[in-house]
Amino acid sequence: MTESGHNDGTGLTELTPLSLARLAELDDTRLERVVERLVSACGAGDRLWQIGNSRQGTQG
Amino acid sequence: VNQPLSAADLSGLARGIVTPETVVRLNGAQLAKHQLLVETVRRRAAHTQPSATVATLTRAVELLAEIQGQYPAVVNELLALPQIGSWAISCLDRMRGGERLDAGYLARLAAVAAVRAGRKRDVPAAENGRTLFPGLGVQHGTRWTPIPRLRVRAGDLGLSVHLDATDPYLGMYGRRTRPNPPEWRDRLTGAWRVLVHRHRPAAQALAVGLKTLVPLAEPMSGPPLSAASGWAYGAVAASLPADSLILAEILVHEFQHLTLGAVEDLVALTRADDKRLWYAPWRDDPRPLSALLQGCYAFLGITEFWRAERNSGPPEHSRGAEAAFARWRRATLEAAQTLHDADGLTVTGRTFAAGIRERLEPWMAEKVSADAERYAARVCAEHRARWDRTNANAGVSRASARR
Repeated sequence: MTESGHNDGTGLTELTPLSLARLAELDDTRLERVVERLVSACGAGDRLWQIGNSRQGTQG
Repeated sequence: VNQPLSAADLSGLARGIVTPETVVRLNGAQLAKHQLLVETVRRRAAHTQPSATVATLTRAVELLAEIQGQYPAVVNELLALPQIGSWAISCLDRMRGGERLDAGYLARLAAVAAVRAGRKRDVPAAENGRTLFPGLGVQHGTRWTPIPRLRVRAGDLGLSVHLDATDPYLGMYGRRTRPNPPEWRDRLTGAWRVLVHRHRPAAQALAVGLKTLVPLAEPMSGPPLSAASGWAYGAVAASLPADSLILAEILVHEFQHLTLGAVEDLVALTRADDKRLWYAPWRDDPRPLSALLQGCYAFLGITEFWRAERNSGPPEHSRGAEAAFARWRRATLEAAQTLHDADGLTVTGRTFAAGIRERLEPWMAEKVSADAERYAARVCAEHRARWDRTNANAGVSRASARR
């Protein structure tokens, strides 16, 4: 996966093949590390993308 | 089925090229994210929630895991619902605030899985009052109201989505309205025809990735509203536009956000500690770098949309499309330049900023009428001047002042 070589990866890629049952076996530290990266990298409160007036003029 | 994103996927995504195969892999990563968040909710709840809540959650997760072992497609489809991500994030927020979380919601999701898997013994007895079953419908006493599903088709390509005005975890976009499904079906049919016949790659991506439409109340005036959330992959919220073409544009725009959001879940694109704010040519307020990148990606899709629209319909349609193309290619390139100069992107984020510019450059060289070019220059300049007046003291980063 493209994450290798950089430290940009959140760690989600490595968990992608796991089922819920397998995920339950994951140690707390690893699970929390990925979740923290997901939430902090994106910012929990700022992931809502809204448009009201920016489409004005779109049709020329 | 759950395959990770490849280097080729990411290289295409950086330039805004989204194949159905890439979307399938993003879908898989989003399912993994939802599973991870659900499991995190279960674990954190054990330390913070009353024992009854913990027991409900644990039973629900165990039941889902058990059914997933036998019928993975049933449980995967349910866990991938957009609202499962926003439910889990809401639980994490509530726990941080010392509040009680909504464990019954996951129990009802597990009940839906049990029904679908034919495990009647695991379906709880009907509750009094109104009970929502995620992705399925609402039980009110003996009355059952299913969540409407819209199925549309154009040529060889179909789209099937929920029209969900009910689920509490799809309420973050704004005020919802009780939809009129036939009206939505009509508008979506028209939008889908436009997408399949004139924007086939976007239609192919949407066919695989779009799961839910959330109907928003129409604004008192002005253009329709639309929104998407990085915690609800697969859902697009919109007020019903009068014109199918605008619904098509909304779907393209919002799906670009969802796509980049799904990438961001796998690879950080901006530095989390960068708190600077920037000018975005489509917003009245200063934006953080991550939001500027999101907007840039969405408007790359919109530029491509109007570029294709120039070659269809009657002359007045082509002229309008040409003006929109001229405006958004200019605005998007300006934002891409800001991203490039900002020094707040990760290595992968820089690949995306470069990819967006690489995609735009040949479009910048395409000839448009003098009227369209003048319109684009004037609208962009007016927006910037208005923005400068409004945000003169907003502490915006200096580099963003460049034209």
